[in-house]
Amino acid sequence: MTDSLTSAADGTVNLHIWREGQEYLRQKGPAFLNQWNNVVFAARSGPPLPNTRYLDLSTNPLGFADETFDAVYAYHVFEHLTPSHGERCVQQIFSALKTGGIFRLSVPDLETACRKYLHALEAAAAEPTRQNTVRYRWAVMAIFEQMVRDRSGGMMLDAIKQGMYDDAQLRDMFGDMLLPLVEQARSANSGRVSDSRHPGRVHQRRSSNTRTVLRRFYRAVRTILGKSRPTVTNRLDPRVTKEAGQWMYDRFSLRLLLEQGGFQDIRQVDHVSSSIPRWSAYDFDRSERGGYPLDPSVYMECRKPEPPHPSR
Amino acid sequence: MTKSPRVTFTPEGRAYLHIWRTGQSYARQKEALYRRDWTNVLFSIASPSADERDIQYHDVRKPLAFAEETFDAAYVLHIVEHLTPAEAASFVNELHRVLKPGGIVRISTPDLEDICRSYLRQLDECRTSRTKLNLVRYRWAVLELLDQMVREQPGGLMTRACALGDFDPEFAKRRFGDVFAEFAPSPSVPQTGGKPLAKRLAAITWSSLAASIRWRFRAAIDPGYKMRLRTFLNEPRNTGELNKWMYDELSLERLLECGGFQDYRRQDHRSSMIPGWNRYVFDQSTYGAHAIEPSLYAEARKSL
Repeated sequence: MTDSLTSAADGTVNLHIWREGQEYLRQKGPAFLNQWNNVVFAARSGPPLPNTRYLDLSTNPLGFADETFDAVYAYHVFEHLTPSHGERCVQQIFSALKTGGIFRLSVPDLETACRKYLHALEAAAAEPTRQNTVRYRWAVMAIFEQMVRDRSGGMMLDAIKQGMYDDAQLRDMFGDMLLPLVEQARSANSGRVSDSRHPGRVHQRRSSNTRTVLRRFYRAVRTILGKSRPTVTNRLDPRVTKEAGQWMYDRFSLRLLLEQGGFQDIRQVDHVSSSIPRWSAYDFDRSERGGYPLDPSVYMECRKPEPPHPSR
Repeated sequence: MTKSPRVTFTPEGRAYLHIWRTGQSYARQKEALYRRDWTNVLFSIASPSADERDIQYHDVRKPLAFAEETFDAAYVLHIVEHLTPAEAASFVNELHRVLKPGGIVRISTPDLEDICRSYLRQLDECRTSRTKLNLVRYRWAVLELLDQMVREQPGGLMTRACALGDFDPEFAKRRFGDVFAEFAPSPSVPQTGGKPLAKRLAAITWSSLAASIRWRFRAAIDPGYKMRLRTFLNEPRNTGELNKWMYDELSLERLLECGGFQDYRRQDHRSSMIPGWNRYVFDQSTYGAHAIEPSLYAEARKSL
């Protein structure tokens, strides 16, 4: 990396790796875009943002010189990498950190998801009210829906559009992260007449501009000529866009991952505490709307130790 | 398929439909039974192979080729988790269509509830005492929950864990039953090689011959075809190996109810409402009273 790195107000050089999150960017963007160096995990470049590079971490190295950063925060990145890519990424973060540097990471918590699912299942089995059923469905989706979805938003977005959600549960499981979708769905649904046979179903008009028609025609010709390749990949595939979950971690498997990467002083922290100097000035994980987590996760921190052989 | 496919009858004259996807140990133990008495449909996507004499290859995401009210019972073994919820819903509608009134549907699928409980148990044990054994069991429990939804190679990380010896045979066997032998071949379970020539010749039908010729012709005029097909089939997403959803007692009931079935009840690997099930007991191992592949088993009835 030849381009200059940004320093925070206290002179530390920090790296923030994240993938996406409209609400996260809105609330915390001013802090991390100005004071931290940013890597966005994405298959292709997005809109230009200050101090930001777009990088596909599943195929490319992180690409910073060794011993560059005082702190690294990976926000919801590792669940979008396969376990082996995750191990590689931890190694690269280890190299990029200065000795004594802090690595913080957050991912959705598999353990919490499973415990909440079992509670919701028991409640719905005992009392199959609409609320319990809705909560049960979301608890199932929280475990694996993002791993199996075949289009952006998946069944979570469908459920939101259909009004099949419970505000308190969404806050509890996803913090503020789904609020933009909920607000969009509310404004889209207001004044719209729903189908009387399928209550809650939202009618979507197909966009029929010239380009879409031409694209369909082109695809049809390719299919007829036998040129279509036998693959299901396309540019909107959640696996291609990195939206799809590739793995899930809990506090224990994260500990194993970090131990294997050579880190020490591994500990679980919460959404407001951190060993990173001046963390309260950034406060990336606390909702601006209240003291609760912006995106409830399992948060881990660890430190890069002194090398065992300083003379090497 | 243009004409309605052949239906096999049991000695009592009942028509039973059997739909499954894969399973070496299952086939080894139960093949003779289901080939003889049941009408067999193998869920297969993008496969160049065509029907065998007693088995029709069919992509169950498309409508079944049978006429309405054909079958007295249907057993769907480990299929629904390989379909998206929407695909599963239309598949259950199809099952409802081909069953006679009063007909029984039996479904088996991995039990999400049981897998989650097992995972949390192993996690707790690991956190209390971090022994090598607990660690290996914990890893396996996580694989059980996640691996088949995300794997990018056939067999996924489970096969790799087995190859590295990173598993506890006792625990894996308890979780997976006889199916575990497919992941980690042990000397006690003989591996069957290719089928004997006589058996292979006997399996040839007109449609399999036609498919074979068609396939060879395609490979001859398009040199890249074989290679592309191999790449395509090596991706678990394309072969149907990937899990696209997981069910528990509650969501399976909901799936069957939405398909019009009634009288839902959970079964174990030996019990069933299907008349004459004792002769088949497809889910019980021939080596003991245990299940071939521990699963969630449930049945429901089409109303009269």
